[in-house]
Amino acid sequence: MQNKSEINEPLLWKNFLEGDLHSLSGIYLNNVNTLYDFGCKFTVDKNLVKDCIQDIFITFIQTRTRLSDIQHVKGYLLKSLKRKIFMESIKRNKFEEIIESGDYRFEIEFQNFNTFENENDIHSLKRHEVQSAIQTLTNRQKEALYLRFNLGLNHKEIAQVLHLNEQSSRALVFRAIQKIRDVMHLDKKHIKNI
Amino acid sequence: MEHIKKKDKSINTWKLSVLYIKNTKIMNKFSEYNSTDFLNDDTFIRWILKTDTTSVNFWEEYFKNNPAQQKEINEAVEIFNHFGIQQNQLTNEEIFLMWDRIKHNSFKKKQLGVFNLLKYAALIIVVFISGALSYYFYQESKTREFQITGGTPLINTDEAQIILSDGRSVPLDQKDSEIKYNSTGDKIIVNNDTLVQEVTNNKTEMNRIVMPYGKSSLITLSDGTKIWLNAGSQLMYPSTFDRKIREVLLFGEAFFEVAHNEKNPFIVRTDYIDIEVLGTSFDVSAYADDKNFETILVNGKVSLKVKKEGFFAGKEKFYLEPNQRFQINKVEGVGRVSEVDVSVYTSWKDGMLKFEKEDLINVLRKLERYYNNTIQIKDPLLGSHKISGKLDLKNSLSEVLDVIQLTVPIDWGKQKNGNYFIIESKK
Repeated sequence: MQNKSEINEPLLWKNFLEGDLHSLSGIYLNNVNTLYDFGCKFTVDKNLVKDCIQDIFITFIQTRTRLSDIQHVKGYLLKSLKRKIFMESIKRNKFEEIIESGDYRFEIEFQNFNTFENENDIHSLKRHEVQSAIQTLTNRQKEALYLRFNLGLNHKEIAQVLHLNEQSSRALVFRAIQKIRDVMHLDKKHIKNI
Repeated sequence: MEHIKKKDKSINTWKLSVLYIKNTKIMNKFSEYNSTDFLNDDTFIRWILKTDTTSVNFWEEYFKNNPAQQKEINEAVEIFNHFGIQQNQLTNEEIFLMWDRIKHNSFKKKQLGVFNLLKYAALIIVVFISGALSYYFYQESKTREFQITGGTPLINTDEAQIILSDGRSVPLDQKDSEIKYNSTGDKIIVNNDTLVQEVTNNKTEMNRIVMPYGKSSLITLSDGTKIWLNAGSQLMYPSTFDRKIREVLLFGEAFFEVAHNEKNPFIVRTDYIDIEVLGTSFDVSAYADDKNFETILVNGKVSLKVKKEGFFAGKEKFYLEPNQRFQINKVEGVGRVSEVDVSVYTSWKDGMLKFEKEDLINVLRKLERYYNNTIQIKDPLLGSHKISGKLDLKNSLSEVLDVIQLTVPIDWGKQKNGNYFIIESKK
């Protein structure tokens, strides 16, 4: 069992607000890879993502006295990074790069999407089918499921990052999972018919 | 969820039976769950990800008692598993570089448009920041483990270990370890054991050695450079140096014997200063909790560049001649070069500590690191006694303190928890 770090982030954040800057380095180390991965879903410009991560931490240090206590540090960091990436893209005239048919993009790639053991490998075929279905979800649904399944965020935090109230966020997650479930059920019948 | 556990015990009190009824209601709520509902439950996700033991215990208990729902639960896990997506990861090197820039820039911008008078105040701020990352290593992580990157296992900085570029961690059990890389960086001899790692050409993945207090090691890098890493220190370096610059990161203290190579300068990066060398031997002491940064040159030539903002920042490069020491006070930002007896600063690598009119408090701090023990000093004034001489670190800490006692008027004692304390001698 991989036990996730049991660092008390709200406490580290509180210490940071009181002027203890090495607490912030703890938060940084604990979250930098998550932030980087999340940021790379919005844009292919990896340097932009790195710059934005640096910028949000610089802003935290510079505006420390104006910040307040937070309970969901990870959610707050993700939200800050997302906003920073959008603002920075506008500034650099690269906004069209992250926009796709009226909505901002959120691109995920599956680890073994195109690997098949052999052509009749039902398991791989099914995985391919379900993962294709996931790709047909809206960008917002993909983002919500990524936050939930890959980063393990709870509904409160997902709502925070998606800029929705908790109820709409819950509904969004529910509908997205329902859609994948439906595909899986279709799939089962389909396989039986063969 | 704790209540479930209580259910198993015999419940006699009224209060607990009320809780029991409440819990049956929760159980009923779950009994109508399908896979979608499970995946919508925050604690269920925490069970899948194994993030907290309360959720894990609760759900495992629940599954045992509700076999009829196994199908829906399996389906929920299956949906979850389909979500294995590709992760973008930063290398350790990038993580440290980025933190460096954060520290540096958060100061720089702060200074912009602010009165020059504030320079001094700003300087103090930077000192706090500068210590941040490495201080976190030494202080915070002593009591807990944390993850540096998603890909590498948890690193416990209390254990001496070498972490290879592929993320494997090998413990270093001996008090003094010896580590040697071959010239291609793919074979490593660790205390007579041979390890093999794959070396990718396009990426300089970092290796890392963690030396807790009480241990030290000698590392021979792929270019032949020898590094004695002192107790309570960490070193990061690539398996091979495939760039123009040979670059390592140091937290703590190390003695370097750099293999001569004019084309590829060797750079030791520390939190506070970068040291550039061609082929030379020198000592660097950059402990995050020391107020001074020091480097001492034995032979050859090195140049130093102060990275942090301050009176010396960036502008000036210091050059050291053999038998010179550069010392900079991290709080005041004041640095100076002086002639010294180098053996005082480098004797630790041969298991000796040499002092020349050194404050007792500094001597004790070095001993604390070497023996991984705490030495409390009851009266701060005692710390300013000057000590000269040689201490043999092969002896136990008690024996060493006995030797110190001969030259300064102190008494020492040992507490029940194993810590030492120093008091003024009654004699």
